[in-house]
Amino acid sequence: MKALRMVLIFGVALVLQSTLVRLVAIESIQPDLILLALFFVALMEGSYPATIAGFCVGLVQDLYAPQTLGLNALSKSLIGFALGFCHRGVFVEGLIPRSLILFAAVLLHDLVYFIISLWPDIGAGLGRVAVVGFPTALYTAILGYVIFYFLHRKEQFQPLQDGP
Amino acid sequence: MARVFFWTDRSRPYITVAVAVIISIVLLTMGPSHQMTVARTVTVTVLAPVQKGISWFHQLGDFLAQNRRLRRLNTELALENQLLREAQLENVRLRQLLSFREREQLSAILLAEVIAREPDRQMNSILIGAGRDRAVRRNMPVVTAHGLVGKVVEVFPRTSLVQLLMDRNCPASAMVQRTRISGLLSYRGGTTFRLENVPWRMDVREGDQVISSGMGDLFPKGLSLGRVIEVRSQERSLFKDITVEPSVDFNSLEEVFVIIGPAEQSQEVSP
Repeated sequence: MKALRMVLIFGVALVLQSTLVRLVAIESIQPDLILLALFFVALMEGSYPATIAGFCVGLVQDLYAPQTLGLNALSKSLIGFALGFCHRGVFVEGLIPRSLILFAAVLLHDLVYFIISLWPDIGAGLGRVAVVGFPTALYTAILGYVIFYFLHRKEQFQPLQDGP
Repeated sequence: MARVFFWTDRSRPYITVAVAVIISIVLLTMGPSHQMTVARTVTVTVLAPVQKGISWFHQLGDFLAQNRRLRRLNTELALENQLLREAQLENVRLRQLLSFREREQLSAILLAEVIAREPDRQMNSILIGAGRDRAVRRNMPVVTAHGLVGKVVEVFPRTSLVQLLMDRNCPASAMVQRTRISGLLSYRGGTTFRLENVPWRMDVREGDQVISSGMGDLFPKGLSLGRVIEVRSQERSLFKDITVEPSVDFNSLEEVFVIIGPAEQSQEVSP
């Protein structure tokens, strides 16, 4: 059931990323919904599922880009693994800390992605991180903040569970 | 044994990420293979319909906006097309008038626009946009490329009133072009004329062209008046009953020529 839910989450994220996200692009900078989904999976499920999910969804992304087969799988499995440590972590309870971690995760992902894809020109990779990675991370973090906010409100207004 | 399982459970994320990294690096270093091509084809084929569906759903909004825009553009183009078609028809009419002028060798004719019609169903007169300012005089013949229209009956400073042949009080001396038999063409109501005073023995057939005879010094000779569509010889009558269809469509007059040359009259009428 968990696997099915994850497949659904990443499927929706993947399809939206390749279709509708361009509509909300600002100067060709788009939020990364797949990393956002990976962040949620990592928070809910932990490192192991997040790593596998990151690898799988990265591989599917790679299948769209023949020249970089394995690159997304590598970067996303690493990010999934790293984000898995936030699972049930006390320091990710607030909206802003969550958004900051999401921002760092996207930035780290792009760092890995661009440095490897532009290897051995590390300068060019870092340049791409500054020009593309940083605004993408910022945009994704802001979007994540909004989603966290609404999820938080929904949790607050949920009916009370059975008492102890 | 339990410790081994515990160790494995704790190490599982590390082992997983290590395996994932190794596989990814292998994939990065290996070239394109047939299996990858198949996998890529399968992935794209599976996701493409969903992506297409979502894109279509999004494009639906675009289609509506585009539809509105295209309908507005269509209306604008249709109006423009109508104007161009109108200009083309006007061009054709003017060309016909020019060729008529050359054909009839009319040295002094004046082009005038029909600016009003008599607000009566009979439509026996029209107002044209040429008057005293352009040397129009009373009794000048008015024609189109198709034939005789009528005569000027009133002249104003910038306009003139033209009495149409389609008026019982505006008969024209006429003759059958084929046999040169003369008669008097007069309006009989409806859309037809009657050629009167043609003796019953005379040779007049359906389809004969009727032209102005030039008698009476009002209309020049040879202007087309119409075509015989019915000939009847009544008992105890000395004359044939000849029905003529006019060559001019009086309902669609837009430009006419005033012949100011041969038939010019000195008499002038004050408005």
